[in-house]
Amino acid sequence: MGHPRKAATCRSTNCSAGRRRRLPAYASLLKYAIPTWWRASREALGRGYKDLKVHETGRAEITVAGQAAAAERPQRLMVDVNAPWVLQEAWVEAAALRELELKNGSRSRWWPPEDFRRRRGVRASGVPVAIGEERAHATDRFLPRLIRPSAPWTTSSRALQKIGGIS
Amino acid sequence: MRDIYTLANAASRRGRAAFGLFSGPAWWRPRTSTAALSRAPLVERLYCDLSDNPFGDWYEPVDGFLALADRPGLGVDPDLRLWTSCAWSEAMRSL
Repeated sequence: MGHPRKAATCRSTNCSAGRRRRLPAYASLLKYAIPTWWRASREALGRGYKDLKVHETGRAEITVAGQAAAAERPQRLMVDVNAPWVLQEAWVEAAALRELELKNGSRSRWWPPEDFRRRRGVRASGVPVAIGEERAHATDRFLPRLIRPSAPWTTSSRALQKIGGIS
Repeated sequence: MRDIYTLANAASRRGRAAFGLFSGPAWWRPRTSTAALSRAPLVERLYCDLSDNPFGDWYEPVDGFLALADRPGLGVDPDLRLWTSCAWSEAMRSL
């Protein structure tokens, strides 16, 4: 006999998830050449993944990834470019990314990632932004700016969540 | 960590657990904490096939979902025989 499902809201974290039995996972694809990307993405979708993330920097590769994803279902793509751009480049690339209707943000899109002015500007362009690869830690001067409600990010990843010492 | 989840939940933001290339305890901890604390969890699973995995099928999503254990601690016991067989050997250290 299974556990009864709880639906109460946790006061400390404002989470009403209840008791989960499983977690949605997305396939974090490696960096491929375009023909391989098509094969890998279709294979991942065939395995039941609903969401994909690509590690690509070039607009052509990202666009192909977006087209392949949109052919199956819309809004299922994330992009991790690993901070290759300065602010002006990030703005230009954000315009192209916006057309892909990213589901959950591109991560580490500019350098340095702690530059909040740039983050706010790119977030304002309409592209979801993820956070989590900054250098911030529990004693870092960046931390208060990272966690305040108005901080310009839409998704936190583990590097941010582990602030507090548990990893 | 709980503060981050609190802020993310309040703003309806996603809390994402990162991947672990070797699928060890460092990957299990954020997976379970995200399941418990995040309103909209999403787990990153590095898309590759491992030849050996001490956590067996627990690392393999089914229809895009990863199963969660309901036991204390990690909730899953690693295969210690496999773990030992994959230990860093003296021969490898000399390279």
